[in-house]
Amino acid sequence: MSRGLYAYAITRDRQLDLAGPWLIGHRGLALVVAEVELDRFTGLELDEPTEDSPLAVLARYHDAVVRAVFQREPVLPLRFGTVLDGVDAAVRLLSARHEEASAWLDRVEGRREWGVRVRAPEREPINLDEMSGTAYLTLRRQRLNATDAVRSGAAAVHRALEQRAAESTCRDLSGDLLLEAAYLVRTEDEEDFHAEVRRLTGELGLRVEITGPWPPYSFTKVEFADA
Amino acid sequence: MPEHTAASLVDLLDRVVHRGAVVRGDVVIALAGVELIRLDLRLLLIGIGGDR
Repeated sequence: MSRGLYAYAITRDRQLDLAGPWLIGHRGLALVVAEVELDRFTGLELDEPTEDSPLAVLARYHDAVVRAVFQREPVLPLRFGTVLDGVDAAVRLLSARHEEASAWLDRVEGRREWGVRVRAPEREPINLDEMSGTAYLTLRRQRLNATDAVRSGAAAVHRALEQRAAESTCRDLSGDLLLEAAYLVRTEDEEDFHAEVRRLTGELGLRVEITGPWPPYSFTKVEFADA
Repeated sequence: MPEHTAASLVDLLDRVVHRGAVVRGDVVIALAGVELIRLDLRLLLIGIGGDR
């Protein structure tokens, strides 16, 4: 059976007890790895992923390892399914990308990622039977104005949060989403960040959903190519 | 400040499978199954919440 070295993350070379995965260190940096059977990664399916599907189990474990490191040290999460060709390959990677990886770790140190989703307030459905034509048109106009207001409200939320974050990234919107973004926030700014989310969305009557804290998954857009 | 709760599976897959640093080149073993999952996830996310 074919085996490889699954790599979860790059971090600083410190003493970390991870109950399973271990660190391959090189000049102050380390790759967090574990030996895996490659068979586990064939035939994974995404259709309606459930918590007990093989993909979900592997992804949760990946996240758990990254988080265990993240609690102690800055972490550069690697994308799911990164499997290296053994310890020599791991050292080659750390050696070839030492400066770049160090710079990325400095960049995310002391910061955590938060996801923010904003939606418009829920509205009563219009009951046409109980309404004159004029009343209907008035209501329609009011609602269109309200739609503009919540849109600009969501934009204001993003501007305010962006200022309280070290970095931010917006995802494209669909459905009833007005804002779907991730923010990399310095831990000392987190209280202020969350107070601002509550204050603004409360004032504007917007529905808000927050996820996190996450390791900086959305802020390590880097490719270590041809290492 | 909100406490961390078990993240929804889609939020988790979006980050774990779809983001994070990528390693390419001789050092990695390419896994065809994982490439397929990445493509599928991209389609799933476009369906749910835009190109995330």
